Amino acid sequence: MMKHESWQPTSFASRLSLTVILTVAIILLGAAVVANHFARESILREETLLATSALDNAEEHINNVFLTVETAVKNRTDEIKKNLDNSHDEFYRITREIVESNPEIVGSAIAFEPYYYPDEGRYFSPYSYMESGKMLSKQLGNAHYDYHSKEWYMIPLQSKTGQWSEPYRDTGGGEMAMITYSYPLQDAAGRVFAIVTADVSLDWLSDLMLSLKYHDRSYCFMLSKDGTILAHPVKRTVLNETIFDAADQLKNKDLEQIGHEMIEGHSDMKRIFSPHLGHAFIFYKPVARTGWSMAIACSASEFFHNAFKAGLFVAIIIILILILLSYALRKAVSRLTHPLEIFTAAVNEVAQGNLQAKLPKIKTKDEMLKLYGAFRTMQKSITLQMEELKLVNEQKGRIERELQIASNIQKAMLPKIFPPYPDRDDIDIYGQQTPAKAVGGDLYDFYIRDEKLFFCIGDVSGKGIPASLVMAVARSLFRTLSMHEPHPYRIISQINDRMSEDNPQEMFVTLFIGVLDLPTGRLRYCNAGHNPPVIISEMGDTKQKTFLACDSNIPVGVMGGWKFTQQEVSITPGTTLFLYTDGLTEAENKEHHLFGDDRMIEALSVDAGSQGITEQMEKAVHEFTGDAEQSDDLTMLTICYTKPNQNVLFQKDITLKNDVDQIPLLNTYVDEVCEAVDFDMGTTMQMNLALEEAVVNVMNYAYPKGTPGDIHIMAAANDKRLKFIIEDSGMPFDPTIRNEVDTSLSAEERPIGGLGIHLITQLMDSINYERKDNLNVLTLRKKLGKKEGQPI
Amino acid sequence: MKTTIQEENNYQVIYFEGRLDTSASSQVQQDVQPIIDDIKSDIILDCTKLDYISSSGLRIFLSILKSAKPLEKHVYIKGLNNDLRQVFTMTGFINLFEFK
Repeated sequence: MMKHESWQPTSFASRLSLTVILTVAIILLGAAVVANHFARESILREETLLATSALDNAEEHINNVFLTVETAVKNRTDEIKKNLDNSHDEFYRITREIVESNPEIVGSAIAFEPYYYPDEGRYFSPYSYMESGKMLSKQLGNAHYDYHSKEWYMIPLQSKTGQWSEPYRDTGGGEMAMITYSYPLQDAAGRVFAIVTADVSLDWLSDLMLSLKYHDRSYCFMLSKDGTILAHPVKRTVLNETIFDAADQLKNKDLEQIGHEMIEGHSDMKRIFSPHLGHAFIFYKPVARTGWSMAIACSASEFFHNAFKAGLFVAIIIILILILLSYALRKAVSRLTHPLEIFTAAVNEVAQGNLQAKLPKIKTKDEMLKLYGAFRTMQKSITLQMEELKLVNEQKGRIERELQIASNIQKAMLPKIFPPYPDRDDIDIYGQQTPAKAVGGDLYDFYIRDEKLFFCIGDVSGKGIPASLVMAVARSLFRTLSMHEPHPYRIISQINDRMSEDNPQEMFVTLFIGVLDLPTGRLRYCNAGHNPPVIISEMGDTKQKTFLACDSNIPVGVMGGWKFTQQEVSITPGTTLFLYTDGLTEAENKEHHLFGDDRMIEALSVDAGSQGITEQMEKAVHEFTGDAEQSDDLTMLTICYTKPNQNVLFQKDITLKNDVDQIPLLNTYVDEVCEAVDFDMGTTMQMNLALEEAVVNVMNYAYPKGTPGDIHIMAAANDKRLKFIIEDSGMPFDPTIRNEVDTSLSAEERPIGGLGIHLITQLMDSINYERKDNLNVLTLRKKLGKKEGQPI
Repeated sequence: MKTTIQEENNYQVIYFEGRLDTSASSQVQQDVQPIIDDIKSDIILDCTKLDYISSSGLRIFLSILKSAKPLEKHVYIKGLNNDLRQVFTMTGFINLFEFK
């Protein structure tokens, strides 16, 4: 295919001109061939006419010669008869005169019958002949030349009419090729007594034949009745060869055929191939008088020489026309297709990005104008689309940047400072997330409020941006709803209701929420379809790894109004909770085997601390997966509930009655405690304020007015913090779920009340409420050490 | 806890002395009730000798302010020590009163 194309003309102009030139050439050549054909026909007709007339003329000439010779002989018969009795010299004179008077006659004899003149003997034949331009005479007959037996003598003797001999080579007389006319002389009784002869050299015949040469390379020849060559340009053949000998030598069947036709007396024209003429024509015609046949042979090339010259001229003209036509065509087509080259250049420019490439100016109203129109439209439309594309790309870039920001925001949502509670000795937490894509659908979170650790782990169905958005919503709902709600099942129910309301994508979240009461170790949890956490608990001296028993709840976001169940266990210090997403258990290696629960449990370290446990697990899963690509987010959260420092340095308690007048007692007690832990004046006043508010709350709410009851307060301090445990046996009352006081309200709007709990939260480091054994237990904690500046 | 009321330079001045805790608050409430009932001029709450105040004390301050506001009278607080000022800050009371 490619090879085929390689030699084809590459430009439209050359291809078109080639086509036109070829067509014109074929037409002209056809015309030339036809013209040539007719020209040759006409030439052939003319030449045939010429040759025929030449042959006719030659025959007439031959007839004339024969007639002249016959007449010359016959005219002398009377004179010979008158001189029969005179001197024999007269015979020599007469024969001499016959020869002299006729240039064709080279010899003449009067041959007498044997013993016509007895004294002359048997042979008497006075004979005059030309030899080397001289006239000679002799007596012809003798014993060696018995003329009486010769044909030229015998035939007229018997027929008694004038006869022409067959051509022969004279051996006794002229020694040349000749023919002889013999005429009988008769006496009164009609008896033949002598034969008068005239020898005619065949040279004249050759001369005649030569004179018929009407073309340079044509020649003539003559045949006798039996095909013997009588005249021919090659002298040696004359009388020595027949046409059949020549045909035999040349192995030319055509020539043989022509020979037969000629000796049979036909006249015609034949084509023949001759070695020295090439293609040739032979015209032949019989000579009626003698039965001979003559022929003109001429070379076809010479024959058509003029025709060939004319043809050559025509050919040159045709070639010139073709060259001119080709040039003109290329010019014209180039001019017509010139705009195409500009279009090509413009297209190349457009391809390189210049959409405003200049187009050729089209003045004609033809296809070029249509092309121009189409091109303009294309240019405009591409420009428009490029602009749109640019806009889309800009938008895409903006979206990508925004997604990057989203990813950053998402990362910021996860706790990232570890250890998160360096001051606490009861809790040790480590969490980490490895997203499979830039933004992940896993979430975990934890924070401590009122001495309760709120924590969660979850996995949003799907991955990428949509999952991350849902994750952000879930995480923010967890934070917001858990702020005023200590029960995991209520937090999950509310998250579920909110997320089920507007969930067009029907995305759901498997979510585990736990609330660990740090002072007591009571763990409340609710599992919405998430992988059950592993709990590592102390059993005597050994550690036991088990899955935390979880109820079957549906994932969050599937169905609003679902009643989630809550479970509760009590854990002892030294217990570890390991939470994870299915990115861990369903991590695949290259053989598509899953990491699985068993490997996870196996890899779970029992005493490496939260960070150690997490990192060892990550190492184990990486060793398992090897180079396989991480297919899902991998999130782990390890919570170690550690043994608190039990080293109590100071302890003091007091029991108050349900009466505000007891407050000064409280005041004295708090002052003593503060002095014992070396608090300064300001902090002491703050502790007084916090304790008073807490106790007054109990008096106001747990014990309705007038109800008798005790309030037991115990203060305990280790080397880190001071804690007050306030217990009463009144009605269940949790001060921590009171609404926050809005401190920005004006005097008129400000409600009288709610200030107490607000002050406690502000003054203490932590506040924790528990209802335990029909007691309200409120624990307040304050860090020891230097007084810290309060937020203003 | 001792509460003294005086008229000075067109101000009604209330002097608080000692600990204004919950047990003292009902007596103080009774002591300032005449002022609340009959506000004649701008009021100065002089806390120079106040050692302590709890939320029940703050509520008394708030009730005086709520009575003065409709009469377009000002309530000023004078001589508050730093520890008490922190309590006012925590509760947002620092935004409600004017300080002398």
